[in-house]
Amino acid sequence: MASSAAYSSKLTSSSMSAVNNPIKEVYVDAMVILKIIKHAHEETTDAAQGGLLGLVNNSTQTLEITNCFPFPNQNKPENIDLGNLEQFQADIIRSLRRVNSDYLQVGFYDSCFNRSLVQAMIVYQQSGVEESIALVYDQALATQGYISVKAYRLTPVAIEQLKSEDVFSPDSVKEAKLNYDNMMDEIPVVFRNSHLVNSLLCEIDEQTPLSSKYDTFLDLGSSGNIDRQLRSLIDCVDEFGSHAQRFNNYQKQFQRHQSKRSQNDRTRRSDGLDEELDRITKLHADSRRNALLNSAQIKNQCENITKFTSQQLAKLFMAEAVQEKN
Amino acid sequence: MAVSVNNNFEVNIHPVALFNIVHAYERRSEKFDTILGTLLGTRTSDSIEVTDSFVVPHLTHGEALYNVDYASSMASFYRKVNSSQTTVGWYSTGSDMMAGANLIHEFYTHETRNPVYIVVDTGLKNDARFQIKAYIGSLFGVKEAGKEKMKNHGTLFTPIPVHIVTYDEEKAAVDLFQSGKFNQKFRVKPPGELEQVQHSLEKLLFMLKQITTYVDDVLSGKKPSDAQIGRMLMNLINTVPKVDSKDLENMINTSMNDLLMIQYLSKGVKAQLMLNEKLTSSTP
Repeated sequence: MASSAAYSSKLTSSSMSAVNNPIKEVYVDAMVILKIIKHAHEETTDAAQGGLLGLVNNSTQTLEITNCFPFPNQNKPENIDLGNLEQFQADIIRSLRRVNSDYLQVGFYDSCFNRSLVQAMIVYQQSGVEESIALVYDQALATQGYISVKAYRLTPVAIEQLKSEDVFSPDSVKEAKLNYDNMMDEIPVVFRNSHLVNSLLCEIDEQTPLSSKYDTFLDLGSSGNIDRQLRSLIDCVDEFGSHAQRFNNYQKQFQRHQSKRSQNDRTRRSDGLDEELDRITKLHADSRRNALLNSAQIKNQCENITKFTSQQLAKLFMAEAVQEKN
Repeated sequence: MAVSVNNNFEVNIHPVALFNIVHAYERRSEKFDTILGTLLGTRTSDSIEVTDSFVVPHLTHGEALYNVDYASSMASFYRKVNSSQTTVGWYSTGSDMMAGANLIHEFYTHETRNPVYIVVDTGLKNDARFQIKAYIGSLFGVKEAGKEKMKNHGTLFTPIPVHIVTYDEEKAAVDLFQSGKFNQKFRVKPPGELEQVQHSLEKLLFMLKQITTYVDDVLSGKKPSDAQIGRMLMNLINTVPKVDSKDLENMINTSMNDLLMIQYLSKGVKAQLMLNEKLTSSTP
């Protein structure tokens, strides 16, 4: 983020308050959502990603998102030499600044919950504004008429850990009582519009016909959506399995090390050669960071799946009721 | 250089472009009354679809000194994101066309073949409505005696119809925002999962009620019967599938079993997470 250095002075004041006054709500402008929807609709091959601009309102403990811009898709052949995404971001923010738009980048949006979401969040919350959030918008559900927008951020506890040491050793994690549950928070999202926008909405209301798209929401066929969500869950669980395996190996080695050491202690008491053993078998405790982030992501995905299936169950019960009357 | 206009040329504009215009208008610097900017979108032979817009800073209102570099650099940013989106015209706010419109229009004819000029009334002057008008420019002039080419005297702006179109998701989002208009604090939250089901159900019930009252009225003679509506109603009734009750129960049960299994699996994964947590945090 090339532009982050410019407002570091603003950051010192806001970063102190982030731990004391956590953001309670995220206010999103209607325009931002429509822009995200449009980008997701037009980006057919990959997920749509972009940056969010806005401001932090400490008095009302809210984060207001007033503008956003899309990132060009890096995988497209014509964009392959655009390697410098930071430069692109800086250029766009500068141009928007000239027309009096907010220029503080307060997060990023993504149109599906993918694996690298959490890693990206760390980058934003550490180097940029601390109250940054990640806005996840589920496009597949939106085509059925259900707008699902969720805002996530890493908790202050997690940020503290990230700041204090690069490597999360198992002991420090235990001390901080950091587990998968309190790594990420979901913050409620509220849509708020100005009066002029509301009058524009009235005009649009009069001009657009009554849409018939609500029927597709009550459609019982949901296997496509469930398929997609389960697939990404499977990916995360695979990674989870490998982390668990590695940790098990570490534990076994640790046990062996301890038992050897106690054996040595018993046999040679006064030789003072204990350090040699430590030097020979140097144990490396893997950082728990990736494992923790992965678990937090799995937990969020499970919750999403549970909510989605409960929706489908409700629809099934309704369909049953309709048929029973016959 | 006369530009011929198809008789049924029209402009389809997405709400995103309008919201962008309002947003930029709200944030304009104090010395300007109106703002202007570029419209992006796609064009076919007889219509233009405007899918986005951005504002371009201009120096003075009267003389319309336009910032060409800014316009082209922003347009290139947007093209990088979506290469099919091109400049299709320009807009200005205010109750009528701005002075000096033909100069800017000429600039845009260099950028694209047949630009459309849209005027959005953000001041709500014309009986307090948000008027959106679109114009197509055609050059007019007089043919000099003895010369082949016309001498251009200016641009004639012809109004063309404007429609607001949306993608499905956009419509769903706009409908969501509509409910925030009459709220106390002008806020609306995105609906929770079961709330959405309830909401759709209410809408369905409302529609069914309208149909039943209409049918009752027709039967009691209060309203004249219409054959076309009758046929549509018959189609509607026929779409409800007639299934044997045992088969229906089977189907519903299997679907329910699938969904419950998925819920159970996801709860199992969560339990696994907790277990892992206990195991890793209780190491010596």
